[in-house]
Amino acid sequence: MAPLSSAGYAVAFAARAIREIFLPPYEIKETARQLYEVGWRSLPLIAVAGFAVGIVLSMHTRASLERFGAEALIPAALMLALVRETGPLVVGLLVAGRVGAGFGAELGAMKVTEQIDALEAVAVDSFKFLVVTRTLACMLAMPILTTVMNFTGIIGGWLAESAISGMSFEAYFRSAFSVVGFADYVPGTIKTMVFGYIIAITACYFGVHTRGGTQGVGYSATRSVVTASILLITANVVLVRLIFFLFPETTG
Amino acid sequence: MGSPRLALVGAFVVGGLLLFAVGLFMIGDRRQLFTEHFFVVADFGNVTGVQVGTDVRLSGLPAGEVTDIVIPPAPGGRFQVQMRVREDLHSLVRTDSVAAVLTDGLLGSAFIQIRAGTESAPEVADGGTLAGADAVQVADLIEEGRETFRLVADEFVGLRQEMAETFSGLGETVETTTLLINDVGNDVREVTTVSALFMDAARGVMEDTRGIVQGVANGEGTAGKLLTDDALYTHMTGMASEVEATMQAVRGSAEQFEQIVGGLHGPESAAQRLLVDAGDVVTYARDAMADLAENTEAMKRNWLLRGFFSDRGFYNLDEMTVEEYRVLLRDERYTPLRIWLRADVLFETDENGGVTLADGAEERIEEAMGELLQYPRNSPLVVEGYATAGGPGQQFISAEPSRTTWCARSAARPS
Amino acid sequence: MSAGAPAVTGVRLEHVSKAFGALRVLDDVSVELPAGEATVVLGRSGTGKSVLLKHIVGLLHPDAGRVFLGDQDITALAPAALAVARRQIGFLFQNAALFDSITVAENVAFPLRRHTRLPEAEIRARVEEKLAAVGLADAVARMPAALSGGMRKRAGLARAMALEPSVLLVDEPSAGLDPVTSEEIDDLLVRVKRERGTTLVVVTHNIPSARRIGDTLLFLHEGRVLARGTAAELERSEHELVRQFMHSEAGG
Repeated sequence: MAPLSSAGYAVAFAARAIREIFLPPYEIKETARQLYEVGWRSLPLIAVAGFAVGIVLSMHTRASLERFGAEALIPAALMLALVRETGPLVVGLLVAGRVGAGFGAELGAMKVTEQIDALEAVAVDSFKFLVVTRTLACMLAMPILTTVMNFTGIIGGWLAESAISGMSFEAYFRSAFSVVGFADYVPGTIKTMVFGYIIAITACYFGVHTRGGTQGVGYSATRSVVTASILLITANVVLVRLIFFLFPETTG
Repeated sequence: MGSPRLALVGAFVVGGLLLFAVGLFMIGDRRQLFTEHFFVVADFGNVTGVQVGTDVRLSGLPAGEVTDIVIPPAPGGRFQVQMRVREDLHSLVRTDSVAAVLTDGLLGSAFIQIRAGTESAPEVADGGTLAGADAVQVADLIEEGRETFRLVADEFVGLRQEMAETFSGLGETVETTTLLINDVGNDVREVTTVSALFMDAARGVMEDTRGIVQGVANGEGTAGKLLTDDALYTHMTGMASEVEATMQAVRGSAEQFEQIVGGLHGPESAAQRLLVDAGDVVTYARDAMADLAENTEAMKRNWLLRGFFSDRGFYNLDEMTVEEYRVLLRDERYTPLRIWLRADVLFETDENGGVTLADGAEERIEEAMGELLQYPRNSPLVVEGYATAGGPGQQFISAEPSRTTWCARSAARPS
Repeated sequence: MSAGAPAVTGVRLEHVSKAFGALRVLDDVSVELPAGEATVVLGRSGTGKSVLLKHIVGLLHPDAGRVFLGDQDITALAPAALAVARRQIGFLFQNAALFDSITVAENVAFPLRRHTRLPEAEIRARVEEKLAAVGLADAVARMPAALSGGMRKRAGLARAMALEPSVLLVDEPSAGLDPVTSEEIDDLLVRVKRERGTTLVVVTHNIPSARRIGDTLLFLHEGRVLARGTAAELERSEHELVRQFMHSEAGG
């Protein structure tokens, strides 16, 4: 397939997923199952990562703000960094790694072992059953995982901070929210739905179009992660621009 | 899909949403969205840095936020800024409260400060209007600075006048303490000199700022560019208040000094009492003068004033040319005490052509120095030498500090 | 069509052509697969046997020509109607194509859950019945990965039979199986045909298997039906290639 028609096909694939999310029948059970796989089972990974990111961010913000004698701003600066960008992006990349590879490999295996044909043969819309459910599950799980990352990040930041200044958690928590506005918090979290969409669509696309047996499955998994990560980071540029446009108070 | 899994998915979604809601609540709580509130409006000619969501504080306390900014229909109109304020602070917001746009520290963002009103004024109604004080702009700041300098300069003139009067009175009444008074008096004279210079400096500020403002208005040059810089703006705001504080301190020291001196010549003051207290008085006076000197020094180092002190040749003799020195001498404000000694009295030439000090020259010098005793110990002492011959092309040889005294020697070749 | 008493449905292909790029896999194939009979499609590898099967269930769409299921042209059906039509068809894939992520019982129950509103007890009873029929009664709770090749194929057959289809398509029933297991599978198929009157279409290149199952044998070559008839007729075919195939691959 020529690259151009292949890209066009991928776009059509992505558009179809969005459209079919809203069209019945709704595969609620399968979506719930995918939500379990993508959301619940990613929790430990996200929680640990958030914790570590919080500690590291805290150390960095301390190093920077200390120079200006602005230690009091550490929780707020950390929160702002987490909520606006670090949280969404780290969750995006982690989920792209874990879930992207999973989808790519799972659907790839289903493709090469004719399970996708088997679904169709038992009169199941395989696109709806496999792609739409996964896309929806990813889109729902991402904001929740991001919220978890943000909060474990604060806890990590607090631990790092309390080790130095002995600040209480309540004071730290309050201080963390002293600067963040709705325009930082809500769009930053909601935009991860777009990340989820990108991850799911990319991985499903590569999975469903796997060729060449077992080797092809591995190839699909790798390509899913790489492509999803790149698309996600690139899309983020546009999203940040868009958020600045829609919520001008974020730029301050 | 077993039911335990379904329960976990439910827990995941519900827990996630709750956690997200906690975040929303924390932000909303900070912005007082969930507390009772009322609205007030203030109008501003200038709303630099103010936008919907900008913090509102009442006497420094977080009180709410800006909810709306209504743009005036025509140029020259004022922006109506609507603010939501916590209900529990309502009793402090009176009809005579004033809202002002301020900046939060060196790096901070703009916020609106509402000053609590007076008790006699009624509480402002929900949706009522407050007077708005505009954000301080660079140009305004300079304008304000000029005003400050003018006020300070006036004050100095007044101060000098008062001190001079004080001293003349003092000199007449208490002859027995001449030396003491002289000692103190000379410090005062220094103050008066400073104030004279300061007036000059203030005048200079006015001229210079007028130039800068002009430049800014035309958007030209480095100065204009610098002044559009926020950091510089903040810096200048700080400087202005610093200058004011310094002036306050100067004024304080001067008043203190005046009180001390005033104590010396009240109607009931007797020489006896004076003598008893003299030691203390001198100590106090010296402390006061030390403060004054320190504050004067601080002014000299001040970013805004430094230039004026040095540019106006304020005792920087080692960098002075002869011409500048002569100009200084001609300035009647300085009127230094000059004692003339003829060369043929001081020096004699021996048979080898060498020049030595003449007999009696030492006594003559000491006699001359006696007259200098009335000046403070750290006053500048300049030794000048003039030739009877030679053109107006004088040679300035050198100037060097002698302890804290600046001593300059100037000579022409002896004929 | 009522699911309870399967109607007898035949399959008819009219002038079906299919090409993948430059490769013509089916070239104007017109063939009648009679209701209630077992037709075995023979041919060398890559002669479009599986492609023919996938056309019958609508997994592939012909470039030209029509495919009739009973008197319904499935090539003209919209996706929803096609899904309904597919419920009359059972498809046993070459590698069984069991869904890896669910148990054997759930695999068999899958079409029932999707397409019937049977109560849970009824579904369980049907699943047990189908699995018992293929001799897998004790493998109910096992995952597909834990099954041997023969067991997988039997489980796949149970799933294909779950909706009691009127047409059963079987792709390579003996591929990768030992002769004894292969024979067991063939017997199962014959029994299904006999007991239920199911129309069987079996793709294979195993001649003994073809002889055991087939009422009629089709020989596909270069996208065309080269010969058609009983095993005995094909052995006496005018085509050298067919005769050769019937003998040389006798053991395969």
